[in-house]
Parts: sequence; structure tokens; C-alpha cells
Amino acid sequence: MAAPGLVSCPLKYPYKQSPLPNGEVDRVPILSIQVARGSVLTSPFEAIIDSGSSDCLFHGDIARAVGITDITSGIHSVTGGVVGEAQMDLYAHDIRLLVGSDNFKITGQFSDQLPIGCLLGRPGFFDKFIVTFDPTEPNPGFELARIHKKK
Amino acid sequence: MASITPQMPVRTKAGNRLELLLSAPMNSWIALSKDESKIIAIGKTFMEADATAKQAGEKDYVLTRTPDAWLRRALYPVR
Repeated sequence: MAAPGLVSCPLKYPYKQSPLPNGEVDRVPILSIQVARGSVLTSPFEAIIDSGSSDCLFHGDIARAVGITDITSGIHSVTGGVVGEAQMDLYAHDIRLLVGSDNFKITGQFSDQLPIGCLLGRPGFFDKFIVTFDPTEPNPGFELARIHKKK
Repeated sequence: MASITPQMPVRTKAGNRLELLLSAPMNSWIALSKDESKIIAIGKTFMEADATAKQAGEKDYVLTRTPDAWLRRALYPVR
């Protein structure tokens, strides 16, 4: 039987606004994170939390910022989205993800085709945190609680 | 590569994130002040925007990437 997980106190973050066409506004679960590889650490950058994503995806610029000069040196795979014909080349590299005061090793998928900076998906993020989304007014936001499970 | 610089310094009241994002060029990295009141730097790459922000003497900022267009998106990549 698996040992019960240790769950840290949840931290609440407000949704951030993002423009949409025709003056409309989206509210998005965005988290400020950092990435490290060896002794090289990025400045903080914004990532969208996306429970639908089967990986943690990063723009190729993030790889280059931690010294991975050629992202195509990683294991290659192809990802698709909900639109069938849209595909994106991904290259896997091991990195360290820093979220607040916490940090852990993950395999990130990097692509220069990603239109945004980062998507935090299931392996690498949702297996580390209990995420509670609350988009309701007046204070739409999400909570993160780090979970430490013994294997 | 030369940095992209706004025509005029972009500064808004604290927290006017939308106005700042809409003022930034598409497909770029921008460094936002922590209170989201101004754009500190803009670059074609993460490293360019980061270096420009550091050169400006800023320490408290967050980088974000503007997409090719502000659209409704279904991201959800699956392999």
C-alpha cells in the first residue's frame, strides 16, 4: 500500500488577464517559474498551467537560456493539439523546475514552434502539486499544494 | 541582434497588464515589472529581453512571451 502523501499548505494565486480579439479578456492560470540546468538559472518567466497538456512544454529559448544551444540534440517526438493537422516537433531535455521555494528535476519538452513561453502539464507538474482551479468571481485564481509521495 | 525597443516608454498604472501586453510586439519576449506597471525590456529572444532588463538595472521582473496573435486558443498538446 502506498504511504500517504505529505501535502504542504496551499498557496493561492490570482488568474492573470490575457487579451482576446474584439476587446475581450481571458483569465488564465499563470505562474511565475524558473528553470535551471547545472549551475545556470533563468530569470523568472510566466507559464500557463494546463491540465490538458501531456507534457511540460517550453519554448526553445528557455533551453538556450540554460546552455542547451541545440535543442534538437534531445530525444525527438511530435505533439498534436485538438486541431488534428496541427503538429509540433518536441525535443526532450532534463532540467530542474523552480516553483516558489521548491525545485525538482523534470524532463521538459522544448520547441521553437510553441507560441507561448511555457505550458505546465501533467508529468512534471501535476504529479508534484494538487492544483485547485477556482475561476469564479470575485477573485478568480488557483491554489497549489505541493505533494510529496513516497514511492 | 538589436533589441526591439518601444517607440515610447510604456508605463501604465500598476496592474494594467492588458494594456502592456497589447502594446508589445507579437512573437517577442517582454520583461514586465513585478507590479505590471511597465515594460522594462523587449527582445526577439528570452536572453535578449533578459539581458536588456539587467542592463537597465532592473532586478524584479518577470519575462513573458507574446504569441503570434491574441487569439482564443485550445492548447492541450497531446502526444
